[in-house]
Amino acid sequence: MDLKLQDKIVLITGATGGIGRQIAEDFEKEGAKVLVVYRNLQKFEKLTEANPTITGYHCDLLKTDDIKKMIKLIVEDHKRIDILVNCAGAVVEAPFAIVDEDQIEKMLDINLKSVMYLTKAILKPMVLQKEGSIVNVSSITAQKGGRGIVAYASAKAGLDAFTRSLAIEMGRKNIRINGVRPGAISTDMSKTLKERAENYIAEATILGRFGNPKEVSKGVLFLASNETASFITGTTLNIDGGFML
Amino acid sequence: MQLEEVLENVKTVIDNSIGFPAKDIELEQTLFDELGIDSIDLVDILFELEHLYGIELKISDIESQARERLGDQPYEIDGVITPEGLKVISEFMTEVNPEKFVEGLTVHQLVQLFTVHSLCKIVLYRIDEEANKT
Repeated sequence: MDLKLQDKIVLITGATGGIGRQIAEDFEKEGAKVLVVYRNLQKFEKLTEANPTITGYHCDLLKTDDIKKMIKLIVEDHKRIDILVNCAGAVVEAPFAIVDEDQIEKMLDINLKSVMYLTKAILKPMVLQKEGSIVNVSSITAQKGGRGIVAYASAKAGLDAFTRSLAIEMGRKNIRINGVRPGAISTDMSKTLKERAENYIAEATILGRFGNPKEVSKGVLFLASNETASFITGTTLNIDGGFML
Repeated sequence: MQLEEVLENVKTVIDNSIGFPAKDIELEQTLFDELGIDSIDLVDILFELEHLYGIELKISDIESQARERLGDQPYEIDGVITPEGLKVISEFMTEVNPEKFVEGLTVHQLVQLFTVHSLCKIVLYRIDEEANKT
């Protein structure tokens, strides 16, 4: 099915990670113009080695002035921003009772606050162009919770509430906001989880295995596209192999 | 920049946003009650004006000025504007009937008093601020 994403301007965060990279590559394959926000130049260069047409913008997503400058530059360069995929995220595992306070702050900053800051800045061009689609990459832990990831799961639950509330606000402006909740997906980020609990996860997942980034990416592109999801907003789709059943 | 010029653009932007005919918009009409604008409409009205003038608008600009003038005195307590706050804000918002600044008025309710003229003043204030920067 043609997702009609050709020439769409798509901004992606977290595109140097496992799921984000797959999302960036899949948008490229659909003919979209992919722009990624990066902090680590080496990781970005690794991404563009295989995908030379991807354009990068260096930005600290916790610095609102830098975000505004970046959005202004993107609009100058590309005239519009059709789709935003918020995929940047990080997890630090430790029992909550002994986790450092600055780690709690970091989890909320990376997984929730930075998404809010970037999304807020991008709403202006989307409102002016009278159209837009945003997809937030959450986590199944937002619903399920998880040992050792209390702050991360809380931030992702906040992200789900953000998706719903913003969808309510922006629907009349023809801006759709949706999300996906990946379950156990084979990436570098889930490496330790896989080593520690592969058997448990395979057993608890109805489909009996870890997912792969491609399976998440398919869901993101589906929700981002006006061809497939024009009447879907405020939804966060579980892509978890049935883990939550 | 003259008020008349800003007013014409504000009228056009409101017309484009909510379909209220520009020719029927008057300076003294309230945005919310009389023109039927709601807070989400206000978002694209502000964005359109920002885009048009290359400025960043904040609906709280008038309150910020009032807070600055009050110095150490509180502008509001628990969301209710203090008597001193009411006095100062009414001096900034001379376009609004002074009788509307009643005791117990909340920060949230203040926005409901905004008129087309108030919006023009916010735009003019920001244009001046930008001009003073350069």
